[in-house]
Order: sequence, then structure tokens, then C-alpha cells
Amino acid sequence: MTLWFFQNFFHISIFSVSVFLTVPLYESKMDLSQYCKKCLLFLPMERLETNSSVFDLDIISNYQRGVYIMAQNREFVWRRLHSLLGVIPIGVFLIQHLVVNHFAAISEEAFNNAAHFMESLPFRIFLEVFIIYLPILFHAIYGIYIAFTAKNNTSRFGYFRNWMFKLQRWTGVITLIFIAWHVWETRIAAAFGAEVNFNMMADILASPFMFAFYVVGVLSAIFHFANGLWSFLVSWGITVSPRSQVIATYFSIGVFVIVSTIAIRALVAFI
Amino acid sequence: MAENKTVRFIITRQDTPDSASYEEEFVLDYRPGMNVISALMEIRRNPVNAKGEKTTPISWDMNCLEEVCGACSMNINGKPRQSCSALVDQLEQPIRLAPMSTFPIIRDLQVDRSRMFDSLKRVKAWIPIDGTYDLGPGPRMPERKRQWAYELSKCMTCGVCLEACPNVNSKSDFIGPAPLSQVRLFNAHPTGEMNKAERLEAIMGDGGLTNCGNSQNCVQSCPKGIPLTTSIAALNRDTSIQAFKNFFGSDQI
Repeated sequence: MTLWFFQNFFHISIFSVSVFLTVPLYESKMDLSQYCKKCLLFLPMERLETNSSVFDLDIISNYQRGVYIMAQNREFVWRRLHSLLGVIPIGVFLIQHLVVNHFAAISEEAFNNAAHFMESLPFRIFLEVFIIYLPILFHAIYGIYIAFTAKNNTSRFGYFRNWMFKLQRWTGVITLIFIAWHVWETRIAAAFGAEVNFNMMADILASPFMFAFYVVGVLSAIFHFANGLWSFLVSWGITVSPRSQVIATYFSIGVFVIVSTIAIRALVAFI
Repeated sequence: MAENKTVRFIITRQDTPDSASYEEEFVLDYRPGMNVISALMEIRRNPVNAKGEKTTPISWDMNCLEEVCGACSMNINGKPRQSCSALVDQLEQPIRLAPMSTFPIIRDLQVDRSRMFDSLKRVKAWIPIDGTYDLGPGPRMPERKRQWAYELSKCMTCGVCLEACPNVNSKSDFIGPAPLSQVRLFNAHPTGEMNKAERLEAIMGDGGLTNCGNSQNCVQSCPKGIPLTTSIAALNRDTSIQAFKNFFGSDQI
């Protein structure tokens, strides 16, 4: 146990620091939201007054009014973009990643071939930047802003959807920590010359601590995707009636179970 | 034994909008059929707390006393609802009364709901019918649609949905479910529909529709059973179409 602790000292310290920093930050009353909002909207706060209507201001020119309305409308565009990016391309990428991982459940060679194929796709860096890095970066930063503007109240209102609301924010934050660590350990390591293959993952997952971390991280990513799919359908006005929303809930549960099975089978195959 | 039966209240009080809140306990004689408001009136008649000390009467808002005006909303045993329709017989004791924390507190259980009325102005929750000459009668509304719209028109701006919503708080500008549902009501009206785009654009502004995080507490809490989350989802669809029209262009407004 002591030996194991020292072997994994680096992992454990990074993990603990991130958890101990993030959790109190999330639950605290710290008003990061206003700060994030300022950065995201590139606007001075006084223009965000809720009760001011641009239509009351007769003295400003039509051009100014147009600029003002566009500035006021940014939140709608950001929120819809956030919702869309979560499914396309991030959700599609998540499924593709987990399906490729599943080659590990077939054989070591199958996994290495699949990983090599993905690595040798043409224009790889552009695919990575536009399909993975930029969408995830935006989704994560704006997602933190959204998570921090909520005041969870499941203790007073313990309804199913309210729990999903809370879990969506929690799993988002957990997934972000996990992805940051996972990218550091694999993609950034690869940029510094490490080879991404079956053995690399087998080494990482040999530690029970890291295995647990991966299980939690992957499951929260899948939960966040499955439940996000449900809210995507509502946010874009696809599921309007209560009945369609209930059926979408069953659908999202199905997505969670199936994708989780694929992911866990792959993880277990490495040990 | 009946004359010994009592009711216990623990009330969160606050003397001024800025001072700290404190709890005060009251014990009242039970009367059959009493509700929270009749209990508060009893305290007002004889403002003595459970320790037997003389205190100030409790301040609260009320008007219709039949759950249609929305003025007397407060947190009763943790859940926001109207105190006029909260029957003591159906409540667990001690009965805890607290002001709705989403709104600025004026005094004790009395809160300032102006932000809701400001939001109704912001989303243009009315039907413009004035002209410089007689505009004549408007288009007819089908009876079935009128009956459907009546359900949405039951909203009394009581604030319960805002209190229940995790996204309506001091950190966000969200206007809350009630004014959003009113946009759906006025957009459904044959004359109101003529200004549909204006209302949709208003809720596409900051603090508007997209702030909804789908916790769906509002629809669970609404005392009038208004399908708030269906309204929000329907408006999501309408604003998707409106955004498409605005960006790609269309002959319609």
C-alpha cells in the first residue's frame, strides 16, 4: 500500500489538488459567474441591466440600436451554440472514441491497429483542432459559467429532473477534470514523443487508483452526454409535449446504459 | 381536551430590508379549519411570542384570500405556496414560515415582486389594440384554443416558480418561467400574434429563455398547474425558427 502510494504520488497529488480546488469552488458562494460572463460577452456589466429596454431609448440611432440588440442577444447564441456543440461534434466524437477503444476488448493487436489508423488520418491536426479541441474548450468554459450561475436546491425540491439538473452540472465539472488529466497523460505525452498504444493504457490502468479515476471520469462523461442529449432535444424545441419528453428520458437512459457498457468493457480489457 | 390543542409556528422575521433575519416562535390555540393567514391574523391581534414576550405583529402580503391574486406566497415548511390556501390541518408541525428568498425582503414575510412585473413589461405581455382610428374587431379566436389559452392565463405572478427555479438567483439575470409562459399566451392570441416576433426577440435577449436549465421544478411547484415547461419547450421551438428567420432573412417579421 505504501509502495503503491509513492508510485502514484504524482497522480494522487494532482487529482487531490484538482478535486479540493474545484469542489469547494463549485459549492461556494464565490461569484465567478459574473467574471466569466464579462469575459465571455466582452461587454461592460452595466450594459447587461435586465430591466432596460432598448425600445425605450428614442434618442439613439438605428445603428446604435442594432449594435445594442446584437450585444444583448449574445447569450442566446452562446447558449444554443453550447447545446449544439455538446452533441455535434463532441457527442459524436465521444461515441467514436469509445467505439475505437472497444477494439481493446477484441485483442491488443486490434486496438493498436485501430489507434494507428486514427493517428494516421490525413490533416490530423486540423481534425483535432476543429472537431475536438475548440468545441470542447468552448463547451467547457461556457459550461463552467452555466454551472456556477445555478443554485442547486435538490434538498428542497427533490424531483427527478431537478436531480438530473444537478448531476448534469456535477458530471460536467468531473468530466472536465478527467479530460484535462486524460489529455495530459495521452495526447500531450504523445506530443512529447510517447507512443499511444495498448501498453500505454495498460500501464496507466494497472494502478487501481487510476482505474477508478478512469471509470468515474468515463461514466460521468457518458452521463453528461446522455442527459445532455435530452436537454438538447428540449432546448431546440424538438421534444415539446410532456409525453415526448418522458420518452426522450427513457431513450437517454438507454444511451447511457449501452455506451457505458461499451466503455467499461474496453477499460476492463486493459487490465 | 379540545381547548388545549395548540398550533406551533416558527417564523423567519426581518425588521428592515437590510437587517439580519431571525426566527420567532408562536403558539396559538387551534381552531377548526384555520389556515396560515388566519393564524397570522391571530398573531396580529395579540402579538405575543411563545416565550410570552410582547413582540411586533408580523408583516405579510395578502389580498384575495382565494388563491387567485398571488400576493400571499411564502415558504411554508420549505415549499413556496400561497398562505391563504395552506390549511393548518394539512401541515406538519411546527409550521415553518419564511419569506421567498428569491425576492428582496421588505419586512418579515413581505417580499418585493417588482422584478416579475418588470419582466412582463420587458416581454410585452399585452396585446396592443390602440390606433389613431377605430381598428375594428380583431380576428376570431377558436373556442378550443380559447379554452387551452385560459389555462395559461391563470398565472397570477405569485413568484412560486421563480422561488423553485435553481437558475433564478442573485448570480443570474434569468427572468424565470412565469413571464416566459405569458409570451406563449399572448403569441397564441389571434391579435397578439401580430406582435409575435417582438415578444420572441425580447425573450431571446440576455436573461431570457435560454437561461432555462430544464430542472422542471417550476411545473412541479406551480399552484395553478400551468404547463410551464411545455411553454418553455414550445418557445424554444419558436425562437429556433425566429433565429433562423432573423439570420437567413425572411419576408415575414
